[in-house]
Amino acid sequence: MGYALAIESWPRAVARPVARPQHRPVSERPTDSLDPATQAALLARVARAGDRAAFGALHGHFAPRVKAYLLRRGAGAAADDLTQEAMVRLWRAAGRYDPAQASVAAWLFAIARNLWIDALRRDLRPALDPDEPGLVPEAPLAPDAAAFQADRAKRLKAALRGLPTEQREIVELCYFAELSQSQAADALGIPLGTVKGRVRLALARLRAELEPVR
Amino acid sequence: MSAPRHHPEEALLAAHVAGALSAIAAVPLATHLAYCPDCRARAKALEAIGGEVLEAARPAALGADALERTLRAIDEAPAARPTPPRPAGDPRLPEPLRALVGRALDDVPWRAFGRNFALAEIAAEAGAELVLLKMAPGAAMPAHRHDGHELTLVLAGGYADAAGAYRPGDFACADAATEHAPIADADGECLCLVMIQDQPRFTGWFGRLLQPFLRI
Repeated sequence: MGYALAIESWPRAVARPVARPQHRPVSERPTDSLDPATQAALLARVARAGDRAAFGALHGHFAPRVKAYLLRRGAGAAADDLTQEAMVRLWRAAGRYDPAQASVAAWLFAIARNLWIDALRRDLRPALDPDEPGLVPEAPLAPDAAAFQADRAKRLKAALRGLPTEQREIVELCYFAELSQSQAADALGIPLGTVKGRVRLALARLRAELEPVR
Repeated sequence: MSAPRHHPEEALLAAHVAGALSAIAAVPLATHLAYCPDCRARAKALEAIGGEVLEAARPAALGADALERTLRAIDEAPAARPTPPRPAGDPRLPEPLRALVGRALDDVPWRAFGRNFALAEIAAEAGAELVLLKMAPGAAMPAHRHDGHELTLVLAGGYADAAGAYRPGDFACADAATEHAPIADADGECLCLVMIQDQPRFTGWFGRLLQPFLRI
């Protein structure tokens, strides 16, 4: 449908990668469909009387679809928790649902989408410390050298961001906070041998990232 | 404040409504919606289509106790899920940007470049950065292109380029085919939120001046 086309046609660079599409044409709706009027009536019963049977029917219909949406967006292991949270919000906000404004499906879609965007935003890494000395050239360089350094620093920065959290943490402590490896071990409460192992892994990975363009 | 006149194109807004944008790219879109009643209405229409997509999705398997657990969560914490306390932030910034910046604009770690520009990086993800950019009144940014996309949202003041005049709430999307040379309005400082993907390709003195500040 046009909607999917619009999303897929947006350059991949800005859109997050999506998992394999799990959609089928609207004309092939599953037989377990609840029609929109029934959905709205069920939600009204939830709002009026905290009707658990009505909620159960909505949950049975929508929760697996919300999970499918979240999986497609890339929620992975978080999909179950996010689905539960979306359904809890559906219950809590039932009294605010206005059938004149949106279908239950559209309303729940917006709830699930907002949860997903919030989850993505929580995962945003704050920008690296702008005063990080290792990433700022010491002195003005000739234009060619400056361009080379700029490219290298950019790739290093990207490679750092791509490290698993525990490796990145070690690199930051040992190289940016200028802790010794044993100080880092103390700070993290892990054995010195583990610190050394993680540093080795992280540096191997950073080198691998930088190697091909030397 | 008058309603914005420059809006995200349909495909970009649809991608945002679908939750398909990266965390950083979603921020200028969501912030534009805070300014723009027209785009909120467009987004609502796209959400209706999202509802249809949800109906048509092939259901994913849930754990056998999913409903039971959900009902338990509903029972356990009826009031224990208060909306989080409003984070400190600059009242001049609309949400969700205010929470993301999390402090007064004056306390943001600005890095000046030249006399006319200052920049503060507020978030980063692989391949993209979200920055606040300040331009002095009348300041002209040299023409530049980008390797990737650049999403700009004006927050205060204004600027003009070949595509027109941009005021608070106005949204601009530049891609690799776009070369632009914005000039800040003469009557005040211009503050923008900019998502920079990859690196703008500046050349000459300006590039050398800028690069250490972007730490590229």
